[in-house]
Amino acid sequence: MYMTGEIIQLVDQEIKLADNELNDFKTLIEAATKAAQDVQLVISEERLLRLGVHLVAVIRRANSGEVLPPVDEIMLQQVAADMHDLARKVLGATLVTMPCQEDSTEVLLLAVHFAAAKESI
Amino acid sequence: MEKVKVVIGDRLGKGQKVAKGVEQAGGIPILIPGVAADMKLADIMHKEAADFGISFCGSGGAGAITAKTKYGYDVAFGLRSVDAGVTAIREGKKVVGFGFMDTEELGRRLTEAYIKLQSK
Repeated sequence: MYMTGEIIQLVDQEIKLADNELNDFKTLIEAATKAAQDVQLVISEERLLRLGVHLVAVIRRANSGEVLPPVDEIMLQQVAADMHDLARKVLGATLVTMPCQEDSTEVLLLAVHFAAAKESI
Repeated sequence: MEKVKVVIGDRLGKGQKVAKGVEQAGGIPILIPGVAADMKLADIMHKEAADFGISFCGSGGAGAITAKTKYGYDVAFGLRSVDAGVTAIREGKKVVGFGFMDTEELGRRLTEAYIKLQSK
């Protein structure tokens, strides 16, 4: 399992993290790796980079107030409930300034990362 | 001149309208089916020797970054409009990433921009 510092470096190499994004990113990536570990989900370096880039986008959306369009129920059901729970847990680790854990689109988009790792997509 | 091949990968398995737009412009769309399609974008582009790819996932970043790190493709993501996509194609980007924008106009105009670029 990667150390948080390594992941931050990996992501920062590809998309420059602003100073004000660093803390939130650290919180989210730690929550994500812990959540995956808790359910014995192994996430490869390639997947981790994708996940990291996704989490930076989550932070940027939260900071700019951007809200993603809603998804329909059928789409939500495409991904297993436990993967939604995992995503919700990760987003729940964010600060009060980022109330995205109840946003079903944000939850689904993150859940797909975990589902893809689980199903080796 | 060979037809332009465009791979489309949407996190939620959409992109049908974009594919239709690619066809309207005379390109060949390769729409990756199912959820997590954006995560397969780079590999499918490589396998199909595609001209360019379009990634959708809220920012388009995950698919684009994989394409960049795995195959060295030039990418732009976090794009918010068709015009921004057209500009990126004109600049020679091979993967363009958007939030969610399943429109025929997007597929058509990106393909047209690419064809125009090739004919220069």
